[in-house]
Amino acid sequence: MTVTDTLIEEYLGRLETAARALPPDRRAELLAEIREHIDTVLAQSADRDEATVRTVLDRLGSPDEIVHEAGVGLPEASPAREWAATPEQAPPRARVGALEIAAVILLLIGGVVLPVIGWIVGAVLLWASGRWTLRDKLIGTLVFPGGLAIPAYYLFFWSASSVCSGPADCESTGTSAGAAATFTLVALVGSLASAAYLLHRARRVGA
Amino acid sequence: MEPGDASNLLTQMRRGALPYCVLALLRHEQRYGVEIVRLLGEVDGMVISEGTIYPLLSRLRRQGLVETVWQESTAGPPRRYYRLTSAGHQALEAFTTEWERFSGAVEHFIGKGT
Repeated sequence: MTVTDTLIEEYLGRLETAARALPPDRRAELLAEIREHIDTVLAQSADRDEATVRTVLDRLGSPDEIVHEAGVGLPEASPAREWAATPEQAPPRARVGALEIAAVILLLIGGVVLPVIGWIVGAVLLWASGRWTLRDKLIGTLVFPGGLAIPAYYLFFWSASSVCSGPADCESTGTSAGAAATFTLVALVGSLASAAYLLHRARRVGA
Repeated sequence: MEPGDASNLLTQMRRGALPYCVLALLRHEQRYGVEIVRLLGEVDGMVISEGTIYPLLSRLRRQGLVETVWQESTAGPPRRYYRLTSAGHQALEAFTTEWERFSGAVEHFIGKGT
């Protein structure tokens, strides 16, 4: 190792020590960049004697100064963004609000408690909230109108009508009953999935 | 106002303006680190320690204002070139407009003309 190599390694060693407080990836990046700088400047200069190397290192400044600059904005403060022509909209920070929770509950069981009206109130709340996108709102409205009301009423009437007078009566409605049961199941699962999705979306935006 | 306030303020202003001077150096072409350092050093009053430019460049990259590409060089090791992203161009244009307004206003009051 020559004298100049020793000088360079010493400098980088001091830089590494000073940079201990930085996250490992930043530290590695900083060391690599400073090493590249030294290599490039020396490759371009006429000679590589001790005086030249000392000048290059002096001009770099003290490791502490460099690390201090690297520590600026930890955690990331970005003054540059303030000047950006298109300021980014910060996402709303509020937690899932009472409005959103009420909307999901009413969409789900509003129609059961207060037929038709209950669900409609839920839908109005859904569309009034700023937490969901248009797509979310469409999904919430179309999957499924009435929410759990349809499965609930189906189960209610099915249990009522299952008291049939004779085997023939029951069998005659078998096919349509099967279709209705399938539809009910779809509405049940769909409504629950839709409610879970809306809650997830509302929470995700707030995170 | 304390006499020290002015120099402190100027240090802050230099610190704040330096990133935009770097972006401005990249406005029309990509440059490698040593070149950027050298160009900044040629102008009096801009940079004291050359090494501090590298953390600044890293920060600009993390902010998405510049990006880097490696290129072979005829002399020495491959070089990391920096160039503006479209966000970098936007940030530079926005700053330039504001800066011209601001410096013009200050000049209006404290410049030699008054």
